[in-house]
Amino acid sequence: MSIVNYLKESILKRLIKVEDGRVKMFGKIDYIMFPGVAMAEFLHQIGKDMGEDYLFDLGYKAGLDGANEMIEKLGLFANSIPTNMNIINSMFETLGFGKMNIKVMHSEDGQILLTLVEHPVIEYAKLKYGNKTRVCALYRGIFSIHAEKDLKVKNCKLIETQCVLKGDAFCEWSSNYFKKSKKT
Amino acid sequence: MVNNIFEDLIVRGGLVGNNNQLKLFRKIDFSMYPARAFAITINDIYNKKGLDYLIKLGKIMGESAAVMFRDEINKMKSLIKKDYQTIKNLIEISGFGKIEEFIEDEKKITIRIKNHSVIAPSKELFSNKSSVCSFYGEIYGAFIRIFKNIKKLKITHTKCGCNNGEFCEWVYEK
Ligand SMILES: [Zn+2]
Ligand SMILES: [Zn+2]
Repeated sequence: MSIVNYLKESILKRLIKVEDGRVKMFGKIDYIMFPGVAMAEFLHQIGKDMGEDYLFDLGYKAGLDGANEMIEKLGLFANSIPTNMNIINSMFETLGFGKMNIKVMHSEDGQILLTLVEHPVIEYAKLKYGNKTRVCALYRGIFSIHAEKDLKVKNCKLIETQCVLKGDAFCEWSSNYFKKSKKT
Repeated sequence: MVNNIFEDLIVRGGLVGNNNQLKLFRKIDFSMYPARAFAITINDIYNKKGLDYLIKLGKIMGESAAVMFRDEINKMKSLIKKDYQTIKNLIEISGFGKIEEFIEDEKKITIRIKNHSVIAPSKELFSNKSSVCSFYGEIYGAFIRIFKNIKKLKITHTKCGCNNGEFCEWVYEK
């Protein structure tokens, strides 16, 4: 389902409510919408001035709060891991976080391999800065903590082995999957 | 009844889906972010790099969004007026907040905002150390500068109360 159909349907089902200029998921969690281009420039500048690790860290902290808020206010992710995976997939797509494909996951061993395409912010960053930007680090941080909290992947700190920004077809992220030497 | 700019856009097809991305006017992609988490992000940056840096980032983000909207509107050949209502609407659909009042006279523009989804949790989490108002003040300033064709604005945050039913107020001196 396209994201806007999902959004339309979500609004019809009152999953996403718009009240007094505020977008609320399930009527409980506030979300803000950013034009992809503005977010790309914002993140590019931070990455340029403070480095990729800081961007990852920012994403990790934001993702931790986001994941906690979903658990606190919606009681999500008390389900089985496959159900959680479906929730995460459709939720991230709805949020304009691109299309994620989890290829390998062994939660107990802390192992995960996934790819990401069509992320609007990463796409804009690529257009504007090509391989000179590291904006995906923020989203890698966000996904890392969601994988740890919602998918129970132990000590998940995703590394990037392929990247849209470097001309690859997708961003490829993993934790405890490849030997460190493959990290680009 | 449609009384909200988001719902209005969706119902009228101004906001459409294409390749799993959310697009406004078939062109402008959006990405969402939890509001409370964004308050944490902004305050983290402030703690690490200080107020001047946050102001620089607000300018970058605001200008980027405002320039993109201005260029899209210019392509539509004056179908949309570049008046204060447009500035208010664009700020709202960019996810930067709903401006309650926009008062303009010869020398200055005053804007007031209430119940802001990022400022409110930021005040709750960081109380008087919250830095998000400085960031948003710059974003609104960028929209005003670009749509009103003003080179420089002096920005003052004259009232701050987004967390207790009051409003935040910024004055932009031309
Ligand atoms: Zn990447
Ligand atoms: Zn304020």
